Amino acid sequence: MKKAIAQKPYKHYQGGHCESGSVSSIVTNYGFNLSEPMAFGISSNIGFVYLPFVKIWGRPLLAWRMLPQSIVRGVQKRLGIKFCIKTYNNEQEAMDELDRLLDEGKPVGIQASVAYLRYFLGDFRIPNNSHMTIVTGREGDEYLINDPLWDHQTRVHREDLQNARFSKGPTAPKGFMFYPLEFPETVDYKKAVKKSIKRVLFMMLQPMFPYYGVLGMKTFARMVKRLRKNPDIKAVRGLFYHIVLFQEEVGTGGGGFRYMYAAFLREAYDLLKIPELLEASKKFVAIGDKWRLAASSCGKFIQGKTDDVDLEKTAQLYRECAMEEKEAYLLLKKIKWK
Amino acid sequence: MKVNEVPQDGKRTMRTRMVQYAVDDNGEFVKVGSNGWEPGYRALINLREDFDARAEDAKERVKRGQTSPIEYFMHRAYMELSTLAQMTGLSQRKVKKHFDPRGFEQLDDATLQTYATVLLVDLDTIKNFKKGLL
Repeated sequence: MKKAIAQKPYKHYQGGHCESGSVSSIVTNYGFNLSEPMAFGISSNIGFVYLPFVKIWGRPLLAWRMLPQSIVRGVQKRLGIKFCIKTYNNEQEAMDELDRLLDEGKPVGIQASVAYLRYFLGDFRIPNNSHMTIVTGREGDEYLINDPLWDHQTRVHREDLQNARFSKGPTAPKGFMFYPLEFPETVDYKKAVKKSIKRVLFMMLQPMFPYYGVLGMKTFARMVKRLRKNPDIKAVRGLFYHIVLFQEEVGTGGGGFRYMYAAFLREAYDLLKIPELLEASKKFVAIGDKWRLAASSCGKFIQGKTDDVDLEKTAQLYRECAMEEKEAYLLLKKIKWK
Repeated sequence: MKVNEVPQDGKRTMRTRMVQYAVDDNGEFVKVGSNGWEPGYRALINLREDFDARAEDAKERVKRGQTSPIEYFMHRAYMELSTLAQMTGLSQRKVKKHFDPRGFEQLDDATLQTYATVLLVDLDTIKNFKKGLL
């Protein structure tokens, strides 16, 4: 194991997703080369969950990935990078620890609520607790934030940062903080990739629970199809904007994560030279396009261009997503790992 | 998604260019900045309008003395009953009770302060909200 040493000045990396972007950015800055798709793929974060009985804003929970914090823990487990992961009960203690680390010149990744991060959406303060970002320094009462979604450095006031780190509610951050401590000398990528892909296959092709994985997608498509019998056009429109919001806009991503997973498979192919990985990578790009197409099919409806949306066709698109994704997973299943 | 298919609709939700992964001509993955995607933007605006309508409705009812300012500010903060209860640490039954104008009047300052912190407003704003409407 070699010690993780923070490099100065902090080199900013922009990523497609908050958590994988944060992990890849902070680990790279501590001196271990880890790309964003690799962080995302190696922690087996691709998924699909549709829970009609858990409500967000009165509408069903939809996510195209695993829980927040799972990328940090997944990277730690699979690649053997040792992280310092902490949560706190005492707010003052947490902020003091953060100050101490920043004074030592160590950037720190934190979980924060976007409602208090003023740079995020301005006055549009949605209570979303699962945003990951990186604090790289402080100047007086202001903290420097290198948010992986942003193309430039931003600043946050101390009070806001404290509130953001200790916001309450669902998936409360509780001052969650992480930074790498030690890196392994060598990484057995073959073993790590194999394990991560096997985990994805196990989760996505599970035959039991109808709200997760490929089965979950089919259930979801069925729900969309059934909406054509719903006479309340306003409720349907509400549900559709909810779908688009959770599929492509907030960090639960649909198409975006498929592209990222495709990039991961491509990177794994470059390392391991297994032909199935390349083929699956191409398939995942096509799947990502399909998810996008399905979302824009919903999008036409919410933009108010037509009242008479073809729900049958939208449901069919979602069903095709499920079928194509199943094919891709079955292809990955054929790999002989020796 | 090809590089030239990355959405550039000019309608951003966040104040930055978001990055997306796309495939270039050689089949390599590259990060491409996106200038916003219209359906996503519309979805966020719809969410906002939805909560604005709910807040306006609550405001009317505050005027008529049918509900308390807490409900109005809850919609303003894009929350619903279960989230608010979870964030304040009170039970949903209690929160519902505080939606009642009579229950609201009995509230002490400490509890009201808890609401104010969670709902991102000042204590006085909540207290004087009804007076301002009349």
